[in-house]
Amino acid sequence: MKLSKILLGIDRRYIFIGVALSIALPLLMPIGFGTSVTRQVQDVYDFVENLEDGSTVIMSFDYEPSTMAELDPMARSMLKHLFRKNARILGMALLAGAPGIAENVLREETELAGREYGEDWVFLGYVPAPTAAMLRIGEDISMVYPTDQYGTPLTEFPVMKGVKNYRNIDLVISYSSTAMPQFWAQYAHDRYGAPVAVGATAVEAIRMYPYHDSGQIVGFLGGLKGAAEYESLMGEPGEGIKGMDAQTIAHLFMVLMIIIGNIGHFAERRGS
Amino acid sequence: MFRRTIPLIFAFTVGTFMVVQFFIPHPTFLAIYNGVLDWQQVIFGFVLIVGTLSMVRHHIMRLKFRKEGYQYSMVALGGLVCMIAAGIYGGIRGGPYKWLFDYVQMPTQASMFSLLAFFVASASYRAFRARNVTATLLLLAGVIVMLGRVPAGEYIRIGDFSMREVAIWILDYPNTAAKRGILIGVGLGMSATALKIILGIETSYLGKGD
Repeated sequence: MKLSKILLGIDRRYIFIGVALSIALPLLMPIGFGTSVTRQVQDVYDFVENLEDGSTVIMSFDYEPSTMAELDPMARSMLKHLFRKNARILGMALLAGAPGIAENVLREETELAGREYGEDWVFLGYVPAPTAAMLRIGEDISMVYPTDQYGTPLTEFPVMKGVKNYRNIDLVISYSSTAMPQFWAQYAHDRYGAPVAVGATAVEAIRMYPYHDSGQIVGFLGGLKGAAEYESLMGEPGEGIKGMDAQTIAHLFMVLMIIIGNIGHFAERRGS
Repeated sequence: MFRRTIPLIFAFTVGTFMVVQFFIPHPTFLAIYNGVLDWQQVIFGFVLIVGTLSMVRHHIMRLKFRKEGYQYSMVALGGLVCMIAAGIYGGIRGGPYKWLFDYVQMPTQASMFSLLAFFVASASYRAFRARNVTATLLLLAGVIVMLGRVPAGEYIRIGDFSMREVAIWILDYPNTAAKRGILIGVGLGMSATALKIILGIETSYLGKGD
C-alpha cells in the first residue's frame, strides 16, 4: 500500500478518539506544565494590584454558556484578586444568555470570599442594546439600571453609594466571546475615559492587540492561557492552570495530525 | 411621502444631531442625546420580540409542511415554551427556570461548542496543506502560534528563540499591524456609510424598490 494512501486515509473517528484522549487524560492525570506570563496579562494584573482599597469595578459578563470553559476561570480568578483589594463589584450582562452564568460565578466567588450582597457587590442583570447601555452608563447608571436583577432599587444598596457614572468607576472589565470589548473600549474608555480591561476567548483576543497597544484597554486575558497566567500571578491555581495540560497535549496532537497530513500530501505529489 | 421623504428627513435630522451633540456639552443637547439612547434600548427590546415571533413562525411553518428535519423544530419550540413557562411559574432567580438553565442549557451549549475541537482537528488534518507559498506561510504561522500559546512552546526552539517568543512576535507585530489596517478600513467604511445614510445617498434601509 502506498505511503500517501496510509497517511491521507486516516479515518476521522480515530482523530476524534485522539482528540478526546489528549484532552481527557491530562485532566485525569495532570502533568503540571507551568505557564509564563505575557505583558497583556501582566498589565491587567498590575492595574488591579494598584487599585486603591475599596475601588468600584464593573464586571460585564458578555458571554454565553458556549464559551464559559474559557471565560469562567478568568472571571473567578479576577474576582478573587479584586476581593483581596476589597473592591466593590457591580456585575452586569449585555447578552441575553449571560445573566445565569454571571449569577453563578458571582454567587460562588462572593460566598467563598464572605462578601455580602448589596454591601460589597450587586448584580444589575441584563439590559438590551449594549452600546446604548454603555453610553448611558457614562451619563447615569441608574437610568440603565433603576433596579438590580431582582427588582430592588439601586438606591437601597450601600455598594451603589456615590456611584453615578464612569467618573465613579475605577475599572470596567468585559469578559466576552464577541466584539463587545471593542465597544467598551470605544465608548466607555474613548468617550468617558473609563479604564477597560478585557477577558476574551482565544479567538477574540487576536482583535485586542491594537486596542492594548494604543492604550484604549489596560490589558487583556486571552483564552484559557490568559486565565492560567492570571492564576499563576495570583499564586492560586484554578481551572485555567488545570486546563493548560489538556490544551498543550491537544495542540501537540493537532500539530502532529497537520504534519502527517502534509507528509501524505507531498508523498502523493511525488507518487510514492 | 411617508415611505421615503419622512424617513429621509428623520435620518438626516437624528444623524446630524448625533454628530453635532458630541461637540456641544449643553444640558438640552445632553437631554435629547439621553432620550435617543433610551429609545435605542426600547427599540432593541421590541427587536427581541420581533425576532422571537419570527423564529416561532418559521418553526411552525416547518412543522405545518413537514419539511425535512421538522422534528428539530418541535424541540426548538418545546424549549422556548418550557423556558417561558418555567420563568413565569417560578421566576428567574431559582426554581425550574434556573434548573433548566444550569442543567440543560449550559451543558448543551458548552458541549456543542466543545465539538469544535474535534472538527477543527479533523479539518486541519485534511485541509491545512502547504500547497503554495501563501498556504505555507499560513500553515507555519498557525503551527507556531498553536505551539507558542501553550507551555510546550517554551521548550521548542527555532534557532535562538523559543516557539513562545516567535508566537508573541507574530501576534504583537504582523497580527497587530494587519488588525489595525482592517480596523482603520472598517472605521472609514462605517463613517462613509453613515454619511451616505445621513445625506440620503444610501437608501437601501428604506426597503425594496428604493
